Amino acid sequence: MRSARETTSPRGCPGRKLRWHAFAVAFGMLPAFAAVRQAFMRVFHRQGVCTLPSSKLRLQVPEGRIPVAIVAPGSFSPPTLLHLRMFEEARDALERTGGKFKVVGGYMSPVHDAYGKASLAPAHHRLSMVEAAVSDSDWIMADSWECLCRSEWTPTVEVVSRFAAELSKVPVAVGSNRPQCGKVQLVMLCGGDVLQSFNATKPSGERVWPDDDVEVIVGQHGLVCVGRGKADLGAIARESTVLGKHLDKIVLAKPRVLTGISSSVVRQYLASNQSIRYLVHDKVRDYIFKHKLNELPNWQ
Amino acid sequence: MRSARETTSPRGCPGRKLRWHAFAVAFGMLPAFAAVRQAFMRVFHRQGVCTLPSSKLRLQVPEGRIPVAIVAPGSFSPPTLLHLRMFEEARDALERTGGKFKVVGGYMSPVHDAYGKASLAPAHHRLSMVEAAVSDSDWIMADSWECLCRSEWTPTVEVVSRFAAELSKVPVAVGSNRPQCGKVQLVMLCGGDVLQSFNATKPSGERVWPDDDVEVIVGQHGLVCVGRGKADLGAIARESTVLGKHLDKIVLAKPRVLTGISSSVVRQYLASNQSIRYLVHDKVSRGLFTPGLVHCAKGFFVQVQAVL
Repeated sequence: MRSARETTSPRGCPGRKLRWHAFAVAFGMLPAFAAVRQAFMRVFHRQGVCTLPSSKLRLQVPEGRIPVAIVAPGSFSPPTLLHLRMFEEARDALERTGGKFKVVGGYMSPVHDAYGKASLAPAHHRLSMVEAAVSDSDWIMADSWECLCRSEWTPTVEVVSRFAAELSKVPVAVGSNRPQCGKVQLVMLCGGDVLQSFNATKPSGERVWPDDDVEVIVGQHGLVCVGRGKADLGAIARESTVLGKHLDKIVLAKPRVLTGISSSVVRQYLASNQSIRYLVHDKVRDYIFKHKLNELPNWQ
Repeated sequence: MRSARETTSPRGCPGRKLRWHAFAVAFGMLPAFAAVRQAFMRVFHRQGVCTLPSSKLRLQVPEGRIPVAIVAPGSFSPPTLLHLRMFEEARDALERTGGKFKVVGGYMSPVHDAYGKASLAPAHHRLSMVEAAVSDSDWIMADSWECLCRSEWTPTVEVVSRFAAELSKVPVAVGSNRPQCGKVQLVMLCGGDVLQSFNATKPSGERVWPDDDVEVIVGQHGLVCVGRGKADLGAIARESTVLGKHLDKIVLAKPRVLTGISSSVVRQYLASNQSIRYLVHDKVSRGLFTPGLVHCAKGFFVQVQAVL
């Protein structure tokens, strides 16, 4: 009977002690492997930057309700509590429109850097801030397709169409029926200023929104507009030729309180070294200071 | 040698096994004792309900700055993000008034139930919601003297005077000097509507605020007013006889953004079963203090009934 201390057998195979040592070393290196993998993923931003996040989606809705997802494209430089509040108001408005809808999830989609707006923080920062802002929401998610998966700016109509296409692959059960794909409808969330822009013309004479785009966004999908000011959203919608055709696809939410917390006002507070607590999510505030976004030249 | 199983010695003392059992039983009952103590304290709300909270107070301020504490009496039914935002605006305003002040702490003081406002949730609920709202603030505290330590409503001037008296016992070091008592000044935080009320008269002809009270609150201590609407706070202050004498004790903060989140609008949302997320602190809206919010919703209906 060979003693356990012998490290090799006549055949040259490692003995029991060496096998144990090899296993222990491999096991001990697991944290190192995990760290390397994590660093790799952080460098390449995240696995599945082009995949639609779905972890918070509701996959079952009550009988007789249409499952609907809310999509908000925007700059989110930074995301504020008003953005989050608009999602809540939009969901309440949709679920009260004759009890027709059930909201299965919400998406904040930061715009691509190439959009060219002067106040845009770099895309990965804006995405991280949005992720921080929705981290403790049980239904709103951050989506990175527009800002990180594409190499240039994507018109809103294509962003909306991509969400619709991805959501049609998600099986949702209505009532006691079996889960089926293609059930989830899409609405775009916007503020009163965007609703007004549907009617607007650029100084060059060109429409801000091509009519075909509005046909797709509002006609094929839908719109939920949360008022921010005194503007009569209903009148704006009715007066517009292109919107007027699809009034049944437009839900208007008139909040009881207009918190007025715009990203630009938050940037003004930061530039004056004043407190932004309770204007943005606490985790967004922590992120801004940790990454010194308050010192960004285009935020002064 | 007696066997360990014997439970008594000839003298009647408990044997080793019984002692061990007694110890084990007492040890096992510790959680029960802790639960009883916790229930006792919850019933009597909390130890030190009348003591000024001081855990978040800053006990050292830079050279040349006056240490000041901000006190906000209010209904807080429920406390909203606007209340918290007003504290932040007030602190910024005070610390920028020629760099004179350094804020050492802030207090939210819920009013006593006997104040009689229809929308008031019970005091212990309002206090719990305020504690939740300031739980992750590093400088604002909830104070229970007014709503739980007193047996009836206390006029604001007495609330302010009590805070000033308690704060004068807190030793604060200015610059490299040794800590001294009596250094901390007090300012009352209020909104534009309260500033306007300093000038107002009730239908009976009686002033809303006795002039003597305003003399103490503004004259002896100070006021920081955070605007909520379009009202010109400066004009209101200058036009008032009693306020006009103490303009140097009044700091006006004009926020860049008026979030407008009043408790009454939150009660409307609650009464309509709508979301109040991102209008109040998450700990208040997440249902941890649902009884308080239910009372607030009821308060909305009571208010409506009172008007009809």
